[in-house]
Amino acid sequence: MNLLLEELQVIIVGGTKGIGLAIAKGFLKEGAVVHIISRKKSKLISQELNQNFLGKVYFYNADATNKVSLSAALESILVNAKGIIDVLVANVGNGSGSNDSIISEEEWNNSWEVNFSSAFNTVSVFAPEIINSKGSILFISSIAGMEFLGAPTSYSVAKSALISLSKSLSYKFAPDVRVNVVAPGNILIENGSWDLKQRDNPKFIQKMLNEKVPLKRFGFAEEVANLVLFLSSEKASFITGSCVVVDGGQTISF
Amino acid sequence: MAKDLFSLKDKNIVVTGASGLLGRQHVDAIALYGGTPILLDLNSSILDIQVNELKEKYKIDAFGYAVNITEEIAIQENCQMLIESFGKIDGLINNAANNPKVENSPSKNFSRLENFPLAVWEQDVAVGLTGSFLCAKYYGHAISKNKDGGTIVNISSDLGLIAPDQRLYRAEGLPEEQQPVKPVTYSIVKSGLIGLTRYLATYWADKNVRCNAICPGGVENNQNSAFISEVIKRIPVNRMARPDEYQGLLIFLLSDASSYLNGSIIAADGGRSAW
Repeated sequence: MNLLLEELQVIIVGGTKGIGLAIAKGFLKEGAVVHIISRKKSKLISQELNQNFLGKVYFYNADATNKVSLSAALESILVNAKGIIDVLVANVGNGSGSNDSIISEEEWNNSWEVNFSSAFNTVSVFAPEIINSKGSILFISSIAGMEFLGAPTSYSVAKSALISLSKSLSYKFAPDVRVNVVAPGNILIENGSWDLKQRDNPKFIQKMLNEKVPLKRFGFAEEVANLVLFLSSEKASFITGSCVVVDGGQTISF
Repeated sequence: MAKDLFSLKDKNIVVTGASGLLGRQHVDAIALYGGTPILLDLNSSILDIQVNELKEKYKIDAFGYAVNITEEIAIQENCQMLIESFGKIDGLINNAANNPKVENSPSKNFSRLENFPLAVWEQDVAVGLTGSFLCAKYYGHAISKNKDGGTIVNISSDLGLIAPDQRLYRAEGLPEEQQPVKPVTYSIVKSGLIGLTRYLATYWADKNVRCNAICPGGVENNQNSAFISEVIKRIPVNRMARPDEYQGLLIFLLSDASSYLNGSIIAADGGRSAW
């Protein structure tokens, strides 16, 4: 399928590792121009992407929990993108945290900042550009925002709120801008938390997958990226306000 | 995304209700992405024309069979014949359903729940649900025998997720007891398909058979302008869908591009059911 993403200007907030990086690579392979915002610059990633997609990929340093920092990035992006942004992907998040039932206010606030405010700031700063271009917005939530999976409560609450934010904005930005949210299940990322647990105790992890996930395996970041690319494309022109789960069947079962 | 990620090359995909408004779009999309569509519907002469058009337009193989999907023996025999001729079935699209007419008769209105004939209920359920069950029983089971499994896509509806807004179907000048409504069977069949989706998504998951559902919104199809202007008020994108607008999602779900989607119920309704 030609997703017609060539030369589209894409902003990915949180795009130097894991799912965000896979999304960035996916768009680049489709010929889009990708603007990656991250808190820390990764020399390795910028070298790799520049080597393969020279002139198509730009990197910016910004902290998504800070609007001023994102606004500064926007100025540079607009210069490189010649004033038009077509697709926005809000991908910042972090599922680590204490599993206590009641956590400290500080920890709660930190989780909220990283997992929710980052996305809210992202749309606050970039949505006017997307409205301008009649483009599309994608949020990355999690199945932990849909039901109890043993994730930190603060993370689950923030990811639920993201679904609610996405659905609200799908109404408020309609009819010109499409807004959707993707809820991934357990995604295996090199050196990510599942990878470390798997190396630590492969039998236990396979048992968990067999018990919890009908497809009996982890998902790959590329499998989430494929969905994000499809939803961002004109081929999904009648899809807005949808929350699409990509979890191998985990949330519908057992 | 690698081009071949969406490819349906060498895949034999059974589509029920293949000659209907959306069924035609599904088989066109399968042909366009290199798959072999196997069309099931009731009228063999319509199927013949459709199959010839597909072959000519897309330079692919296509096959059409007149079968009544509510008859178990017909499905069983057709499935057996397909396996004998093609060796395998890779995909199934449960698309067939009666589209119960919103009746507008001057006397007794049979679309209304209090008048709805049991025979019509049974007929609608037979096509929409029993037919989908029988297709899963035979074609789905055949798919589960493949080394690499395959995919099942159920075509539900936005009305599988939300109640119909009966105000949309009102006719002026009729007393309350004669007002036309969207028949109850539509909601039942479409939400039943969502249950079937979840059931099948776990049933053959270890055989790598994935099952997902699409919940399309209304397609613009010569409805009267008063209806259209009312219905689009309820759709955030402020329009009904074009008939070809679900092709992308269907191919995504049939192909390897969606390899980790299983049991997903995807609203594609311009935002109507979002909240």
